[in-house]
Amino acid sequence: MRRLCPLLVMAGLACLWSAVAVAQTKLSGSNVCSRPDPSHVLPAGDRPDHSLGVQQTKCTWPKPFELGTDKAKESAATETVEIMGNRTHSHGMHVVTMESGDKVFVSYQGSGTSKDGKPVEGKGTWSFTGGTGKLKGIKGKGTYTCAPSADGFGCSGEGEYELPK
Amino acid sequence: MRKLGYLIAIAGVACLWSAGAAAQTKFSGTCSCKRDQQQVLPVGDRPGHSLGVEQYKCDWSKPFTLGGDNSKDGVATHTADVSGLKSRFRGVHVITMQSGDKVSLPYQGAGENSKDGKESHSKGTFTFADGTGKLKGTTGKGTFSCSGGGDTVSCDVEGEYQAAK
Repeated sequence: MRRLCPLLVMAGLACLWSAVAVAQTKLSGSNVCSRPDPSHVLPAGDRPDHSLGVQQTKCTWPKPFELGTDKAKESAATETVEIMGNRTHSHGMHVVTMESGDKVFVSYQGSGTSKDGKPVEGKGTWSFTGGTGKLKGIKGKGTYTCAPSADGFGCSGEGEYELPK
Repeated sequence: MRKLGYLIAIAGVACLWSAGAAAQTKFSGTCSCKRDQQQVLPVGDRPGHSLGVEQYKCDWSKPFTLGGDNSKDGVATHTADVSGLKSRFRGVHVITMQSGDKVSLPYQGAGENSKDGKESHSKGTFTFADGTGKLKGTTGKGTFSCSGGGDTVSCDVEGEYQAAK
C-alpha cells in the first residue's frame, strides 16, 4: 500500500505536468517596421559614441502570429535605446492590435549592431504582459531576431503562450 | 608548524584587506540640477505608462572632492520608464571638476512624484566609470537621494573612491 501511494502521487504530478504542457501553444510570426518616428537621442557626454534615447516604430505583420483564431494585424513599439559605438541595447513595449481589435502587450529587451547609423541585426527576448478583450490575462514568452528588410527593418519571433481559462 | 602557517596567512590577508580599506576614500556632496531636455512617449498599453529620455544640467552647491579636486558642474542623461507616479531610470552623470578633468558616473534608481506633480523623490546607486586626466582609472561607488519639484531637483550624494595608482 505504501508503494502504491508514491506511484499515485507521481501519476498525478505527471497528469498535471501534461495538462500544463498542453495549455502552452507555440506561436511564430514576422513583422516589418518603419524607420523610428519619433526618435529622440541625446549624447551621454562620457564618450563620443555613447547616447541614450527613446523612439517609436510602427509595424505591419506580413506573417502574422496567431493567438487562438485571432491574427496580429499591426503594432506600435516604444523603446528606450542605449547606443555605444555600433552596439545598441533596447528595452520597450510592443502593443499589437489583432484583426479582432483586441490588443496584446509584449515587453521586450534585446541588443543589436548598427553600421553608419542603420541597424544591421538584433536579437532578444519577449514576454506577454497582458491584453484586452479575449486576450486579457494572456501569458507567454519567447525570442526574436531582427534584420534589415526591403521596407525597413523586420523581426521574426517565436515562443509559446497560454490564454486565460 | 601548520598552525603557524595558517596564522601568518590570515595575518597577511588581514593586512591586504586593511590596505585596500585604507585606499578607499569617502566623499559626499550636493548638486542642484535643472531639466534641460525631456522627451516622453506614451507606450499605449495602459494609462500613465511612458518611456522617455531626459537630460539635466547640474551645479555642485556643496562640491565633493576627489584627490584635492572639487566637482564643479555636470550633465546627467538617463532613460526613464514611468508608470503612473512611479519611475525607474538609468543613465550617466558626467561631472566636470574645477581642474577641467571629468569623471563619468553611471547610475540607476527609482522615484516617485506626488499626486499634484509638485514634488518628487528618488534614490539610487552609482559607480565610477571613465575619467580623464588625473581621474583616469578612478574606481568607486555610492548612493544618492534626490528631492525637488517641477524641473529642478537637489541631490545628496555620498560614496567612496579609490584613485588610480
